[in-house]
Amino acid sequence: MHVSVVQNVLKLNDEIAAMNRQVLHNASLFTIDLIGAPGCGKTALLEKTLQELKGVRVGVIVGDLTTQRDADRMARFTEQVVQVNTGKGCHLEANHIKEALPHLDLGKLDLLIIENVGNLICPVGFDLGQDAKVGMFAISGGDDKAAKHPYIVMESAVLVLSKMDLLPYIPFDLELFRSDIRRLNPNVPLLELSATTGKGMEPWLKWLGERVKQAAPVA
Amino acid sequence: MHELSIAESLIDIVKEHCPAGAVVQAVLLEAGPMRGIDNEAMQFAWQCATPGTVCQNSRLELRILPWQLLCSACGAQWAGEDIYVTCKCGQTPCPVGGNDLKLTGIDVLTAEELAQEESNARVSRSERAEAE
Repeated sequence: MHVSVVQNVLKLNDEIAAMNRQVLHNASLFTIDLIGAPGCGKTALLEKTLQELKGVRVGVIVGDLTTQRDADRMARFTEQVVQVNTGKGCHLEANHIKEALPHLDLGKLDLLIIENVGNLICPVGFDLGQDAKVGMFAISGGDDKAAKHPYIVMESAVLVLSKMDLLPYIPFDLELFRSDIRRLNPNVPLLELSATTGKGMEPWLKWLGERVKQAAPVA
Repeated sequence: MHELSIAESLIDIVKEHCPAGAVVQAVLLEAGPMRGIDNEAMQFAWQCATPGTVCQNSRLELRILPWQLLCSACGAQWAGEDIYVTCKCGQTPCPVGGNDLKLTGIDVLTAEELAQEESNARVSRSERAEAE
């Protein structure tokens, strides 16, 4: 017998994500899900962001298979850090965030940054309840990574290309990289920056700052 | 290996829809190309996740949908396996959608069908015995 069913497979995840989104919006937070390959500089970008983003109270949820190292790095800049260890999981799911949220004092935050597990593929399909997905690439990763990972390019509200200070030392066709992105997602802003030198950080901070302001309760 | 999470969610949904006493034979899954699902990895995940569940020993029939491409220059729209192609008009098209991840059906042997099979088998066994 054939049982006809049409159902979204990740319905449960999506329902939990919708609940997270409601909780975060009730607290007037703007939330991003930062997705990038291991070693692309996610944590370095966050360190620099937390240092430079004045007047914005930031909480961080960091996802890794194991270790507290990223949480320790973040703890130098904010007290509101939760490390989620996924064990064998290659991505965060909405339930991880649901369990992490009670460990944060949401009323004392303006911006929540979720640093996903280093992976350009698996995290993309799982809604966490964020307002925006931010896809991250690095010069050191090579100029073909956007073309090879269309999902993250298409799903991101903004894309970051980091480690721009390495451009003189690494063969990287910047025009090719940019045109691959334009083809997949013609309107997404591409922010080219270096967290090490600080060059190019302003547009990123501005992008975040504007959205935090929009999410804030009207005084 | 997001395939394993998908397999686990899928099993939960099948459990909801499987008639009581029925045995699941096949599960039909449809995935958009945006999901980045690899058939081999998905089949492996299915074998790892199903033992001891309602989907034990069932087949997973995965259909990966083609990309839907739209040329914003001339308005042409078509489906294709490759995302990096040029439109007939010479412009580059954009992929649209492709995010689907849907259970589309389940093939089961119901309790009645199982009982019928059992009795058929019994008949053929006794017929064989008579012939001998």
